[in-house]
Amino acid sequence: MTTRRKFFTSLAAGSLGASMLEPSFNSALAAILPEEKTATNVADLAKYPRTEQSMPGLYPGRVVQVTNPRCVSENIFNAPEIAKMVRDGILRLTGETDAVRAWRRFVSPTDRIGLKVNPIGGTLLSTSHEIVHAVIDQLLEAGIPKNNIVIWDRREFELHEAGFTEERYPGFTITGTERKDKAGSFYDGAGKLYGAAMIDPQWSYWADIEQHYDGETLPYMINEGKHSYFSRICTEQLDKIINIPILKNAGASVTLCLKNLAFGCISNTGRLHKTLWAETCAEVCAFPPVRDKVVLNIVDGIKGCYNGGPGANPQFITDYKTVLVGTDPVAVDRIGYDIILKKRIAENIQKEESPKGRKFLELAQALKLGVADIEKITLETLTI
Amino acid sequence: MNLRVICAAAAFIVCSGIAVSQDRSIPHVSDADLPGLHVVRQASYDGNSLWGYIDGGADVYLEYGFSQLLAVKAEQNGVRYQIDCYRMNDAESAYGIFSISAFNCAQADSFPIRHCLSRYQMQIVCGPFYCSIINDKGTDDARMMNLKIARIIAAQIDSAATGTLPALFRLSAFNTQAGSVKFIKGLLGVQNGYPAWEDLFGELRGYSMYVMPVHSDSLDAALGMITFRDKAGRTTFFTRAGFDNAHIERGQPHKSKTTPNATRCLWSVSGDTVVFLEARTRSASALNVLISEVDAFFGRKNEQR
Repeated sequence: MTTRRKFFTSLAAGSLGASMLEPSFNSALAAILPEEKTATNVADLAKYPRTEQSMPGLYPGRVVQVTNPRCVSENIFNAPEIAKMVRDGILRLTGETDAVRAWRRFVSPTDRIGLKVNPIGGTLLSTSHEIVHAVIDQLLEAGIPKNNIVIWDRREFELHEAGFTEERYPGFTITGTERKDKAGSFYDGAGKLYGAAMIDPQWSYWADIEQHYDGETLPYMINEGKHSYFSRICTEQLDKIINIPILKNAGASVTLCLKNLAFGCISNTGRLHKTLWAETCAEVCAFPPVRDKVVLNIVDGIKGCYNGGPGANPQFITDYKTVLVGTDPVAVDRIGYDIILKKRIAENIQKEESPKGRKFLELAQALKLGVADIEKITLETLTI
Repeated sequence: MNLRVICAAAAFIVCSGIAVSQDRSIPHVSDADLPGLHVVRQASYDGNSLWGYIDGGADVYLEYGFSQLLAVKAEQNGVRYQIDCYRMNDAESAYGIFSISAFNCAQADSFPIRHCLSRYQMQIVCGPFYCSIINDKGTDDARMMNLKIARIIAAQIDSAATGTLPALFRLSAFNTQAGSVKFIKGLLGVQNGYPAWEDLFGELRGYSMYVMPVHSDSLDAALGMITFRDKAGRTTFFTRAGFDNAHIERGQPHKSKTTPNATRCLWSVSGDTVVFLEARTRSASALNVLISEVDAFFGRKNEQR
């Protein structure tokens, strides 16, 4: 896997790619990157000017945490209480007193809006339907047409297995990049992967690392090689994205807003997990199909986990009874990181913070996707 | 169902992989095994096809050494069960996965092999097999069914030949901690099993270790038995642990380093294996007791040579 990997000393060492970067951006990256780093096409980002809608969005460095002790009990979710958590969180974030006006700060009736959920924990620990229904109901109240709302993730069939079905969400589009037909085949009659038609060759995250996938794995990765292509769901089918990850750990780090987006919108991820996890979380989110479309992050912390993530190991699932709301995915992730770290220390999973746990946040901050420095984040807490 | 919550680990038994090495099948369940149980789907994964099943979660299994997985979805009385049986490359690897997955375990009476029972999950480990049975309701009935399924699986595993943890961790002084001993084979294992040592191992490759966390009112420590594939790895570890240019030989007294934050000690087991202790203590006497236990263990070992 790594035999053909090329290293370069640092982005600040004068490579062509580095020279395209803004000086402040360049030096910030150089300060946090290790001396040897697998090359990626992060330097290409300089070609894409930021827009008004780019991360960190309307409220940089601001996070609202809504806690409600009645939102879940004995594994039964209280939908009205959860809906109130979402509504109150949006109101506090925007400073509005009217929910319609609050939501319309982020979306309009002509937008095609994607709700990026996380179904990989199956029925045990996926984005809760109560949160998704709350968001949908409030979008509808804000005048967003039903047919402009899309529930999506990488794997369409995992969405179905986690209960994101036509029966539960009638009239809404439920879609994924990796997909099967009704017979369960990943391949169409011509022998082509259905997923291959869902990736956009115009947009890719290139990294100088590759991995061979066997026949069973390829349909889940779509392609091999050094490119991870962005899903057409992001590049073509959506105007705005509302990101709804779960409060989960990933080793001594976390898988929240940035991870849910980065690994959820590109192909060929198998090669990236082990050695480029932090870089991928940050750098993929810095490409326009993600950076310029994500308008809001709502972390589902009704239930979450503090160890065993990103899978769902029941022994580490806990009722956090909280929801985090913000436009700045880095700041939201930082607050979520602290919540999980505190729980891990309380449970004796770890004694203190791992020095590498926040690397992806520091990289994302260097890419100007948001605020990772806890001293610069404004956290507003609400208890219902 | 009569359950005992584990507060202290009982005698530790790990089944040997040797006993099942001739049998390439994986334990399984079928509709006929339990009344009302209906297998909805069954799939087998090997090599890196594990990616298709658990995506990034596959890495840690591959790091330990993964051979094959039989994943079964079943239902009974409206409860869904996910039954995953992994065949790892060897018994240590299976135990390693178990050791980083088990937490706040209860014990089921008369269950023949090592296990961890909780409201939603039953985990068992024996020889090269690590199996997890998860229900999606967490009710008493669902937990009971988890246990019944686990018994069916356990009956298919030859538990006659048993192995043990390294002798150091079987000292009577460590009885209350031995149940939390973890086996780690790489960075993901460190991150999931004992993340406090992530900086010590970092990108090092080719090592494995048993780690026993020790927590008490007076002591916060971890005792590890670490085997390095090569001298370079061992030297790097020594440097990171603050033992630059350390030369320790089997039979020699331990070496120690004390900083404002921690005390670290090293013993040599063999050319490629060391015992490493890291402790933060509020009581010097508690630390001395722990060190004395290890010293005495090696003293006895050396006398036996």
